[in-house]
Amino acid sequence: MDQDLAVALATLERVILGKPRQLRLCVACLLARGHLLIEDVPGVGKTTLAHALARVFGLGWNRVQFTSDLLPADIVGVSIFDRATQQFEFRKGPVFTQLLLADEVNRASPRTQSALLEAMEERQVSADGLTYVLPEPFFVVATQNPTEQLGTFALPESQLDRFLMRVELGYPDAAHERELLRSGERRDMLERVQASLDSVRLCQVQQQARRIHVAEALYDYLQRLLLRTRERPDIKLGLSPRAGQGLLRAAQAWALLAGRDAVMPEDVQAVFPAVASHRLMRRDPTAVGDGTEFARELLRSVPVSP
Amino acid sequence: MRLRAAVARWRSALDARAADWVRRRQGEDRLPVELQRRRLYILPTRGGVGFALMLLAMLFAGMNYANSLALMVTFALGSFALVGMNHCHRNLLGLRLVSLEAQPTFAGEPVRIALALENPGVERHDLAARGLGASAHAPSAAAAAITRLELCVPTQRRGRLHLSRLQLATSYPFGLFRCWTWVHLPREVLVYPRPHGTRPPPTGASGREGSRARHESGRDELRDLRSFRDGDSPRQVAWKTYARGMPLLVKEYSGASAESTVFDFAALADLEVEARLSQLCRWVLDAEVRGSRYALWLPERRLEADCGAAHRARCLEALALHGLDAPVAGPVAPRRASPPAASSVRPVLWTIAVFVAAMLLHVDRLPPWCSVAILALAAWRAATALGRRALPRSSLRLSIGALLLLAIVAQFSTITGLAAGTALLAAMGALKLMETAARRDCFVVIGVSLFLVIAACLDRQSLLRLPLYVGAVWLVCTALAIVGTPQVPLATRTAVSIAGRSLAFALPMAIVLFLLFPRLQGEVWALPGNGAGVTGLSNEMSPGAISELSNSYEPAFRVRFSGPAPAPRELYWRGPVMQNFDGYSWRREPRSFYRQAPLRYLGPPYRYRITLEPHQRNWWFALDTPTASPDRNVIFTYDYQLVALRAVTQPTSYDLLSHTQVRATEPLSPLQRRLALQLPAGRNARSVALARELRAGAADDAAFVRALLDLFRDGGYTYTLTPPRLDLDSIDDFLFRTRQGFCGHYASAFAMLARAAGLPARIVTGYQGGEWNPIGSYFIVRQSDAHAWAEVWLDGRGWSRVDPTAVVAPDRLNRGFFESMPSGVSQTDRMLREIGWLADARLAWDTVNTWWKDQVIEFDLRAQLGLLSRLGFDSPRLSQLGALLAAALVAWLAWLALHLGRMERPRDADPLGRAYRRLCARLGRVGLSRRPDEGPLDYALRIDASRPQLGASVRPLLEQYAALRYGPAPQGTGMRDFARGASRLRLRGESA
Repeated sequence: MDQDLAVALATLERVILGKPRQLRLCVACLLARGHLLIEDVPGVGKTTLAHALARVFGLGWNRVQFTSDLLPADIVGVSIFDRATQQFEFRKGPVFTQLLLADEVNRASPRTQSALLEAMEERQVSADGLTYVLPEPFFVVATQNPTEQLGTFALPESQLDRFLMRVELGYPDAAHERELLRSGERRDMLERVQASLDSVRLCQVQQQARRIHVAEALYDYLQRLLLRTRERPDIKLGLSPRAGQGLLRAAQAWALLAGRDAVMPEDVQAVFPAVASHRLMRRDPTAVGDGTEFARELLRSVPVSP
Repeated sequence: MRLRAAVARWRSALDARAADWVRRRQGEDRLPVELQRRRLYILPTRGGVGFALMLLAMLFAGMNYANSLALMVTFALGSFALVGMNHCHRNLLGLRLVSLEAQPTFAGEPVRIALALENPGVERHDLAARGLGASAHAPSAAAAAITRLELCVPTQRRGRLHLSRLQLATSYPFGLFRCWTWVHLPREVLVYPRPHGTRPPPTGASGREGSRARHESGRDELRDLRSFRDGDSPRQVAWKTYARGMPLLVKEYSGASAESTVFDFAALADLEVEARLSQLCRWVLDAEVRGSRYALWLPERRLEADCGAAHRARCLEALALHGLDAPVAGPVAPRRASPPAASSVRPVLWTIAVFVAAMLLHVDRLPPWCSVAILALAAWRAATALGRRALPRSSLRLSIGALLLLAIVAQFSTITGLAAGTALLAAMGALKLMETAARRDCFVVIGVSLFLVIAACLDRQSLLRLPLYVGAVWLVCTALAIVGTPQVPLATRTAVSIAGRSLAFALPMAIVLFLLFPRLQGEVWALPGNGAGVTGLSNEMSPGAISELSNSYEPAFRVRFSGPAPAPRELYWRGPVMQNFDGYSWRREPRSFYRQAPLRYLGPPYRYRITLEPHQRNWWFALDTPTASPDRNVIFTYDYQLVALRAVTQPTSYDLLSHTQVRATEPLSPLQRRLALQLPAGRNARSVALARELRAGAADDAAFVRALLDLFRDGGYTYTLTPPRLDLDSIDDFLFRTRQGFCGHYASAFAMLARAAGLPARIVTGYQGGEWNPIGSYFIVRQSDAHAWAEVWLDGRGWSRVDPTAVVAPDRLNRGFFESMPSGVSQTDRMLREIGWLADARLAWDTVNTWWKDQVIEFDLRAQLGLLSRLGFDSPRLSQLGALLAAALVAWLAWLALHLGRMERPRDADPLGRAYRRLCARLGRVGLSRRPDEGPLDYALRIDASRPQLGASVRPLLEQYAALRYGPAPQGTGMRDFARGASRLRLRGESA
């Protein structure tokens, strides 16, 4: 693995204690140019994580707290009439940054959500007939609280599909929680974190991830996985081709982090629960169960080699 | 009626017993259910049993008439049925039932039970599922894909439907066997009451919930905006949005202040229970659609107000189960749920095609009107099927049938015999065709067609007709494949390929059965005469008889010498010997009580094997003179001829030993002498006088013979195929008037003259010479080589051959008929012999044809015993033969299973995968088997964790495999290193 990336991961692990796998997934998501959805109970460090990611990778970042009366203009920007110049001037909204933390994205109305998601997809914003391109690289780290359903607008499946990965942090274990309690506020620590990469270097690493070799046998395995999700009778909606591409990119990023020059089935299996669990729609509406567990069970049912 | 009821009761009791046994044996299942060998049952269908009976009948016919082709067809079809059984079993083996879902439904609508079958192997066909009296069919299941089936079970009442077991069955490919399995996955499906009722739902209803104030706008949350409807309160309108230029929109809130109603069972007191439930159901559904909250109050439970899919499900379930304790079992699955008769044009058309093809095999033996009538009936049936018109009435069919029967009896004047029987069979088949509607009838017509094919085999077995028979059998098998899957008949290409492949697999076993299956000696039930015309030499020779045969180029027999053959001059083939002369013709002496005098044999012995063509007479030809009879049923007569007890109606082979030079050891008995000197009184007077004159002038008998020969040579006689007709005193006429004759004339004259001079003489007819086939190393003796010569008794020597042809036309003996008498041969025959490549082709064809007749058609009990003795069984007992056959059957079945199994996994193109799989299998034997979803690196880590010392050697191998399989470098030599390393790996504790 690249030295810088190793340092970045180590730094992140110092900030967010006891979640090495999730951190790796987040970094892989970034390396795969994907947007990240963090779904978790409040107070486990979602904001801290986004902030840490931004700092470690040397990215500029913004935070938007979504409420039910948030308007699309509050995100993308608004045109204001400047009396001095007698012209309308577009004031860019918080989306014009390299890492945008969208907190509680499921609280805003569908119109506001769609404005954000459109920006995520197009990586540009149109206002008053002009198009403003978002900076490169651009990530959205969205969070939502899975338990609170009242007063929320759940993201529809087609919009969920735009997030490459869904990661759950969860409570830290006892030892790490003890250390967290001892070492105090993360905020101060974050101020001292040095950037291990910058945006240019990040782009280079992204290109490198794209070039990781994918063998035909791996494409077979990938397609078997995708086919299985589409054909299992208890899954109403399987993985789309966009999801397949995302899965491949994520696996390449994971292989890069592992220091390999080719994607292994293990890489696909490692990122699959994060990539697929929010996209798979179960047929049985009363099915209660962790999406991640379901994805893992799916993995177990697909053979690696024919 | 009572009997039928009793039988039905007995049957259902048997079914219940069987179901219990199956359940106890298999136990309850859990998804996913894999159909393994243990749980599959296979039995012949009714069509299969009929097929077996038919095969037995064909076997009997073939063994009785010792007809090789018929036996071969029977064995091929028997093995083919076994291959079909294998295919049937494989059609279900390995399938996995991955889901069995049933959605609750309302009474009156069918419950849809959805199955998903995963097919890991090759494509499968004709899958059927049965449960609760309903059935579903899938005509095919693609490879490595999931197929869904849906059972529609009709419902009438509400309650719980209990699916206790499910049957998956198939009768692919030929409908001869049925393979099935029972799956015990108990499922209960709720059937909700039918929503019905016109009463308006209660509004607001009792309790506090209906009257809670709304619009506590500070607390409630905006849920949605919808367009304005008449009657909406102005307070709810979104004015700010309206001010911005949008249309009138109304705000909707979610939260605890929404409206709710109570549906009370007790409130509908004037309806009966089911109607109440139906009405409540209707209200629940409507409320859910509106999105309002509702509560359901039933006598036994109360469901509090809520809304949403889960609440709806709970309410409906409560309604469905109201007042029911035990689950309502579904309708019992009938014993054989007969599927709806599919309108099947293709199977009927294929049946017609097969029948017509089988009938066409006989088209040159049947009378033309018969063929035309049957073809017309077949065409009528085809038109009916294509135009989807109704079949003719039974009265019409019966009258046509009676007409045909009468006509056949009139034509053949019998109903026994091969030709008559075939016509009758074809007529019956055509009549059955006219009433063919269901699959059973198609099977019957196919059976009739098979019998027609067998009849053709019994009739003629020539090599030229072999492709026709093969084609007919393949056609029959293809039709079986299409008829056997009536729901959705197989595509033609699939049916042709599965039939052809099954026949090809069946061929080795058929050949083994053909060679080893015990044969009968003799016929149990003889066929009356074939009706084919007699050919060749008869037991009477009149002047010109032999030359008539010279037109025929047909082979009479073939001879293969095991050593050097005699010179052409010595190739005399002994046939009927004639003693009785009436002045014109010679006849065989019918009485045969004369004793055969023993002979002394000089010169080299000649061993040879003759294969006779059927000529419908009793003569078995031999090289002059044979030493003994080759067969128990053939008499070696007093005049050294071989006469069989039965006519030669089939190609017959036998081995003989002959010497061309013989001497008598005893003097001629007086009885035989009298017979050999007999002449009719007063006939051929001039010839008698001539003979006496010549005898007087000769010193002894030998000199007299020489004088006679000189007479012929120098007397101005010519040898011709077409001499003029002779008078009754034929010898006088020939010797003194015409002086033209063929071999018969000369021999006749010589014998008569010898008798007149007191020298015992007789005529021998037979053949002389023969064509040498260098490709097959045998002689072909044709009818055109027919010859007649004389034998005279010389004291001291015995019966000696004298052939006047030798002096009159010596070319005839030296060079054979064809060379010496070119005018007697037709143009085509001459072309076939003179043009180089045509002659070679002709001889090559003759060789192949002869091999076919010798080795295949004539493979009878004797040949079988010969084969067995070559294999080491000198006098085999039936039990030994049975053991050999059983061993061959087991070996063939094993080979079949292996081959079919290998065909389903064509992965030979992946040596790397093979090596890896072998390595994983080896590791599995020591308890470290790889999970199918485990990648090579994870596998290596696991091995390392559980067995570090093993991991040290295994891990580099697995990493090497991972690099080869998924890495960027091309495979090449790394593959070989890996394979070598994998095979060299030492695993302790491995059971080899």
